Amino acid sequence: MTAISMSSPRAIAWPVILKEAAMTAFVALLLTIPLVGLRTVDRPTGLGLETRWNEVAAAVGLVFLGRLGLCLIREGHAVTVLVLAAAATAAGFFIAMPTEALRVILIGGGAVIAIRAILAIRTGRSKLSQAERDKRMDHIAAQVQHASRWLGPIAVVVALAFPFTPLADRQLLDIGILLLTYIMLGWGLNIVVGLAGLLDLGYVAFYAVGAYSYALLAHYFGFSFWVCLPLAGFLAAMSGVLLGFPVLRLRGDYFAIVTLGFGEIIRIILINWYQFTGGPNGISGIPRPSFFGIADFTRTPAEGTAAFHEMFGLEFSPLHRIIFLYYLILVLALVVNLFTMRVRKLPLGRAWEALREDDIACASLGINRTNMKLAAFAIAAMFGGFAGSFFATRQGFISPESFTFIESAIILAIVVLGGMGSQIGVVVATLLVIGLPEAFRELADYRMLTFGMGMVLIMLWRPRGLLAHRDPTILLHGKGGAGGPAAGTAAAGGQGIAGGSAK
Amino acid sequence: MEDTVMTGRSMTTTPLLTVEHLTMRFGGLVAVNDVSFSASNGEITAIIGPNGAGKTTLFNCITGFYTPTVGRLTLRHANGKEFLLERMPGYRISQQASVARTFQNIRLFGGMSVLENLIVAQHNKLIRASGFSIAGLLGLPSYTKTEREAVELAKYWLDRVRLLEFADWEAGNLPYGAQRRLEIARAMCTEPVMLCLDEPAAGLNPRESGELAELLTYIRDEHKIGVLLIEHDMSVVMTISDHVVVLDYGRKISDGDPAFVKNDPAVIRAYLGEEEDEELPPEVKADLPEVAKRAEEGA
Repeated sequence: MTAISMSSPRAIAWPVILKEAAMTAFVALLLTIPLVGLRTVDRPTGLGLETRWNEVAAAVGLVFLGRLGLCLIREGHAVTVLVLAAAATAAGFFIAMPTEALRVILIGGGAVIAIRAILAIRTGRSKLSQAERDKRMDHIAAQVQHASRWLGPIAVVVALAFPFTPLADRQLLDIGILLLTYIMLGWGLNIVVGLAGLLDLGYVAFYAVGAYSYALLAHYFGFSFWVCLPLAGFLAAMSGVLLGFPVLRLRGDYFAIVTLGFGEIIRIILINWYQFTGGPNGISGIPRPSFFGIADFTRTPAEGTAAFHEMFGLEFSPLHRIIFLYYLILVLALVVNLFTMRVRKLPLGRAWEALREDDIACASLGINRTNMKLAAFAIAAMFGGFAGSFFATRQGFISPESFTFIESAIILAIVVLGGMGSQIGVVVATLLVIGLPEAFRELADYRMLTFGMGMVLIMLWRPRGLLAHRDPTILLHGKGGAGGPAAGTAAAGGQGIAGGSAK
Repeated sequence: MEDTVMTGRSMTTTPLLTVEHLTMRFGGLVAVNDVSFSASNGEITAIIGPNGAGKTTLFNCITGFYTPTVGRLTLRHANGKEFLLERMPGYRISQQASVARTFQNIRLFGGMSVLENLIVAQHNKLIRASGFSIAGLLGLPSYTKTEREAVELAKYWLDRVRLLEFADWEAGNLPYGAQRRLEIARAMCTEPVMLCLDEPAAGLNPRESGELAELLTYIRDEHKIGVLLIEHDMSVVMTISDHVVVLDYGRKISDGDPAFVKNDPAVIRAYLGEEEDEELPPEVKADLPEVAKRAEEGA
């Protein structure tokens, strides 16, 4: 208690603290009664209500204790709180709890309070100001950004090696494919939202165009996946141009609304054009991909085609196809990433970022805004189309249900959460938004609740996204030069001026 | 009407920009009313006038942000090529007619670095060299060479506006005066034949204004381009401009060299208002107290 005791050795004002904690618990009670306490269930007689008062009581009690802990930190008893919070977290880990929800809240809440206590002990204050927090987060983001230079290749190697580790079972590979699909979509949307600064709420439309392009071409003409993949990308890009022409003259909110509408239009067309798309029943029996058109992943391939396992002299395993799909989406995602990383350093990418910063200034510099935006739109749509045709071939079945607005919202959430324009941010955000719910399947009931809560917290603490940090695409003085690149962002004040005047 | 005001100046060379009968209406409001003037190569033409006189509207017409209601704007390049600016979409005016501008409220790409701001300004040259990104994505040498040249041009202007040390800074983090200078450097990086500056000295201290005047003179004398300048700071306008156009309520009220405009009664009236007393001849004025006295007696 060294740092704290000097600043505030006063006695604890129990009535005040208890009152504050009780108030917070009361607010929690009001919120948890409808959100947690009541649950509608399907009964044979109709819709019924189920109550879960014990979970409400547990939540309110934990909120009360948590608030008490925060108050005590403020009053200068951070060490005691730290020990108690750590104990609570440990209890959550090791002692069996009546429900899984209770366990997670206990671990999460305990950890948050423990972190606050550690912060208080280290800084001598219970809270950081917004500016300080921003600065610290910026610093972390910059560090992660720099670390991604060696972390990125390591992650790629790990991802490449993963299917050969003993860990890789069917379930984990499936989750890996799911994560990579969303990473690819996130990277694709990042071109429009993160670089060009156009808020696209209908990205899933291009995903749908890609998926249905493949499904329909395979269904009606028997085209193979490898022929359809570029075609699906092309058709999605064309639909992007088609949408873009009338829409790109709109700005900001209006643009977002029209893209939202476009997403719905595509979905409704798919539902209603029954004769062509199969309507709500979707399309089933979409052909699985072959090994680059050379070999099939079936045990007994059709006449005239080779089997993958025979070709390579392996024992037949259904896992081969999953592993192949995993590599396929990994390569597709990496192509998107590579493209974005390179294009950022080209006039096209720089023009996109300039459009995001100020599009009127762009016009005054002779940049054809419509063409630039159209290019961003078409390229992102093309990547969406690739992802869509991959989705179709992986599932073997698609229906309009897979392309609802919530999918667009999730992809957009990934981009915004990760930090607009940050490639590594998309990966981190996908792990949080898609990976965490997969890891906590038991808590599926609370999925949307936690999702919403997470978004609110991010918007409060870090409105620009977790890893929003931008490095210049070209440096004049190099990394060690005067007023280096870091001086431009976090430490804008002294360092750069010192570096400048020293010359 | 022009004939009555065009007195302070003789036409020597073929003008770079000719504005003829330019009128801009917004609904019932006539922001610019039948304005004609011309600006020459290698000269600084200042456009002054009280607030709301239509200066920025005139600028927005010239740089393609507005399409004028009536009028003709002709830009002549040194090689004889002519451009009718009122018929060109906004971005083409910079891309093809080579007119660059700055803004009254600075419009930099704040999140990008200073150098990147200047590279984006050379977009058209670079995107052609990058084969609309295809050669660039493949990393062909033709593009890298052009990019190196672009960086050299950026360096030249950064050196001119004394921002070379800050090249890797985020533009939004620069002090105000530096942002003004950077915006001018960015406009110059488009290699224009005419530079339009909208109140470049606004918010600058006297020392910075002095430096700005030096920079503008340098641009005029070394690069031989036309500079069109909206400015309220008369110390800047009167020292550096070769030609001044005065607007009031959307009309041109005076046009000539600085000395002529300074003494033009119409300009003094617009800036200081009319003095009614001076309308009366002196002998009448002398009689005024007498007249007042008699009127009092009569009542």
